[in-house]
Amino acid sequence: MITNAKKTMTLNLTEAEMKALDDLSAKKDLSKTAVLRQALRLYQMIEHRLSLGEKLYFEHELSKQKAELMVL
Amino acid sequence: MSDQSKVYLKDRRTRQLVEAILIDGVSKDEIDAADTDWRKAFNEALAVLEKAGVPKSQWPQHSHWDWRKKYQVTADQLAYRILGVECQKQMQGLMLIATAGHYCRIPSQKEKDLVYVHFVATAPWNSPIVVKEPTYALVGRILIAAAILISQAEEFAGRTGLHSLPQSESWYRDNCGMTDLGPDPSDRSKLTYFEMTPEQANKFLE
Amino acid sequence: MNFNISKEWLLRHAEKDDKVEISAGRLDLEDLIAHKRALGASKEANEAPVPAFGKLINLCRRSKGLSMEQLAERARVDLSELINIEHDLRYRPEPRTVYQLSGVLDLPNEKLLQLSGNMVIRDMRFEQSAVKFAARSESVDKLSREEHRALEEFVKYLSEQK
Repeated sequence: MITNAKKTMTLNLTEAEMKALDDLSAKKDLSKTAVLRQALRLYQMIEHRLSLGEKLYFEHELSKQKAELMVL
Repeated sequence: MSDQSKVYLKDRRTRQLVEAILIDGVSKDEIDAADTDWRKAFNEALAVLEKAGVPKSQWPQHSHWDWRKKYQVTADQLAYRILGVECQKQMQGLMLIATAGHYCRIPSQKEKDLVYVHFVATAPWNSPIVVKEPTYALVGRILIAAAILISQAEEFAGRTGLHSLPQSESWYRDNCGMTDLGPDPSDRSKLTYFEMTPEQANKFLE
Repeated sequence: MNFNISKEWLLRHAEKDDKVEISAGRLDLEDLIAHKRALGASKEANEAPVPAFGKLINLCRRSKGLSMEQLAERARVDLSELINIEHDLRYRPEPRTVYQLSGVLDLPNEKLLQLSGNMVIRDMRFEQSAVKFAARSESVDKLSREEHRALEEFVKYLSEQK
């Protein structure tokens, strides 16, 4: 049976990962828990679309050019 | 997993408030029943509209929304939730929201997370563009309030966004006090995008 | 999540919300097609179908590698009308839409107006060719060789007609 009850978990993060989490928390005005919750949701959404055979792209706002996640 | 909260709808026939249930996490069975009931009612109503010679531009554009499909596509993802308002053992309104993947467009809120209302609709018998005399009022207000309360619970401070169908724009702008950001150029039908700041959200809940 | 939405708050806003429409939501392409089908099915039921027109637009579009959205944008026509054209055999497009499409797809406008039901077809052979063409093509994403051939022949025929 699935309930709304929350479970606690301990995370082991490197200094760089903790900093990234702190920075995102400040930028987004979210607690660190909320940031990680959003990350999980997004990750799951992406996985779901990838499993349907879709690809992940970003679109440049002005040029409308599509590129995969990172253009080097 | 589903939560139920007591709410009230206004029965326009008796002009009295009647008890209803706000469901957070509508089940597949509930969606199936709602879809069946709504589809039947829409078909009957569209036949009446056609007979009365009502121009198609005024026909309800959401009559074809397939809530079964929306449930199927979103059911096992954390970011999506379907809420409903039930009264007299029938679904009076449904709303599908996303709590991730959407970001504010109002400049002062830029890039902050918000609750995005993917779809919200009231049952055909409650819609003034489907039937001459709608049955229940307050369905939309309850669902938008729920979206805002979820936004606050998620630490998004009540920020909420949606694309309004043309016939609903004045409600979102004037009754809900949302910011009108104009037709969304990236939307096929160029629907108007509305967004609520934390201040507007608090005002709505007052 | 449990919600505390008070009776008093609802009562306060009940008059304001008396007869309001609240729907919101973007239409995805499937929704739009289903909606247009439902609308088109009722009104134009008594008008003769124009299968060749929709098929011609569909095949020309696909042969140019255009999505419906791209064609609608280039021709500056409403996407929902284009969906009607391609999916509803009885749909009668506006003459302006036909003119715009003929420009982008490089097809003779007058013939297109006849095919679309906006003008009467007086040439029996033309009408028969149109019916034959409609029957030859099928709906797949890429044009089959047969569809290509059917399309080329019909477009050539249209261009040659005075």
